[in-house]
Amino acid sequence: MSPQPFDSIKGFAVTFRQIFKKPITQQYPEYKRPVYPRFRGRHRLWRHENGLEKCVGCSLCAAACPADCIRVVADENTADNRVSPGERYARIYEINLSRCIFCGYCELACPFDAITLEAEYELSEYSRDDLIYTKDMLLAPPVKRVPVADRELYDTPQPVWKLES
Amino acid sequence: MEEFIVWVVWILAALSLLTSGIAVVLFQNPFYSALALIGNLASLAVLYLLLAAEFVAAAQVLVYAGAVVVMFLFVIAYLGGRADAPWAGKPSLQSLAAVVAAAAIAVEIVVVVALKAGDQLSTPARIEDGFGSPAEIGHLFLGDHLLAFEVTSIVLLVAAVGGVILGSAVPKEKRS
Amino acid sequence: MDSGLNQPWWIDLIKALIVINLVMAAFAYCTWLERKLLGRMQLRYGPNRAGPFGLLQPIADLVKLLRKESFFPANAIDLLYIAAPAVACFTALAAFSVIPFGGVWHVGDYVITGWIANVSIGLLLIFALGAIGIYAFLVGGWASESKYSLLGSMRTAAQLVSYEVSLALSVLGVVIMGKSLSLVDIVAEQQATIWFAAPQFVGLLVFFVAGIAETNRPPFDLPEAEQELVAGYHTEYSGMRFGLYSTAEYINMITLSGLAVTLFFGGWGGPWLPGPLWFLLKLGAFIFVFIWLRATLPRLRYDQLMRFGWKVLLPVATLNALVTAILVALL
Repeated sequence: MSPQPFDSIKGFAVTFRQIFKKPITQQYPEYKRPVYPRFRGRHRLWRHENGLEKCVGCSLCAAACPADCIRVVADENTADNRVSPGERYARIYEINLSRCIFCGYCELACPFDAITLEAEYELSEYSRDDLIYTKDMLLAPPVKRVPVADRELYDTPQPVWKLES
Repeated sequence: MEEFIVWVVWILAALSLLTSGIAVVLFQNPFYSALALIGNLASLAVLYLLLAAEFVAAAQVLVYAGAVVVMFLFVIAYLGGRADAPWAGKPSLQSLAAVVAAAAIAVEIVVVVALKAGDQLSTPARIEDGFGSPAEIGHLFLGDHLLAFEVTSIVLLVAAVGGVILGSAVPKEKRS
Repeated sequence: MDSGLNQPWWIDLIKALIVINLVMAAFAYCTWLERKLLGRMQLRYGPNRAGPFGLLQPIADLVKLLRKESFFPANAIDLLYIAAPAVACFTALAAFSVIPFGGVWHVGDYVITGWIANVSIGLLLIFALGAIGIYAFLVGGWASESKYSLLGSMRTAAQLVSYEVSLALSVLGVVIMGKSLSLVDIVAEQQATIWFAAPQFVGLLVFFVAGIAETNRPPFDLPEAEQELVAGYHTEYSGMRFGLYSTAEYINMITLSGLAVTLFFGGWGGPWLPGPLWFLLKLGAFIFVFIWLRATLPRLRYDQLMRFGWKVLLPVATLNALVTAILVALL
């Protein structure tokens, strides 16, 4: 007798045993898997220690964006309204999150580290207009925090030539 | 009350039998003809049930309506519009034979009704308690009507073997 | 035509209403059971968001199907397209009228039987209804006027007709041992002697395998395989019409399980518990096996399917009937 029919019957035992094992599904809203430290989520505009915005409205991020979703309108920094430590600041800064592909090129292009991509990924809205984030919304910290994995586990180890020198 | 219900059911079944029978012949589309045939067989089953022949009714639906007409429908659905009647149009030998056969059946019906009216048919059937049940039919098959049963089974065997031979004969012709 | 026990006609009506509603509820929770059990067998939870343990999921599905657009292809033939799913559902439900799910109860002046109708040809009636059910798929696929539907329905009909022969032959042994075609008598005989699963294990095996093919369940579900045929005969159906086809498929599964329980496992018989409860438990066991098969086995290719039906099942069923007849005649 060929072994093939017995293999099919052993298959039944396998599926039957699985009923009694705990499922491996991660139930999403109750358990959120920690994201990697360099996860590219929602953008965030940063400020210096003294409260001035880092962004000077140079539009390098808008130029680098492959999806063309950043809108920057710069304006002069006057004496009584100094927003950024430079000659200009971004009067209007909007990102259309429905166009954004979360590639991180804007973060790479910015010479002042003014924009980074943080960990927030829960960005659903009920209308497309609500997905256009303005400067205030981007400056603010995220409303809901998502768990981020421990940096120590994931940072790039030092290359061999640096260790030995 | 029961008599009335029986009459109503009988009239409805007979009417649907006749209409579906006529529809089988008159529909242009052969698929609809086959569906009308199913209606015909269903009405026939109802009539059998009224005659207390439940086994025949169920067996007929199971075999005829359930398998034979399915085969009809297979062929019709695949051939579709190409299944035109090649004899459509002018009257021919087949039409003449059909008219003769229909006339013969009409004559037979008239004769039987007349004989029954004059009480000259043979003795009426004995309707016992188990009439129409499978046990009764089994006894008849293996008792009074054994020859007909065996001849029918031989005919079916011949048909089955012939079907297999016809079905397997085509590759040989292609090879030679 | 009927045997013995007379009841007023309205008791039958009430029983029929109860049975139909229970069967529809059973169908709804059969879908729930299938999704949960299939999920557990695949190391995942089934639906668990709609209500506790996902128990409201069938209701959610029903509302979704009702609210979905039941589109009507412009080419489809009106009456046949609409009637086909209804016929499928009708034949699936009607088979429950002869399956006994309890004994005889005496309530006050009335005698209430545990079956809706006891016809002397009960088993044959179920097969006849199954044969009519084939038309639902055939006509539905043809009336959709679409190539995928036509091919799918032809395959379905061919598969159903082939396995119907083996199905009918496999129960010949049971009929010979039970000495009657009536399901009530067969159950009574099993309670008097032994459950027919023991002497007729070959018949049970053939019946079950042919039954899986009859209900288009995996591993014989090629006619509805999405990957091969888009969706077979129900390609052009959506909304509640598709819901009716789906209903018919699950109720066919429940009917077949009920039939297997009645013919081979003593129907509603059993110690202590009331008849209908035993029937439900055994039915549940069979439905579990159906779902288990779906989780485990890959799909049979169409030619493998047909070859298996005609070359393996049919001879085995015939031999079973022959051997049973000889043994019963000798013993």
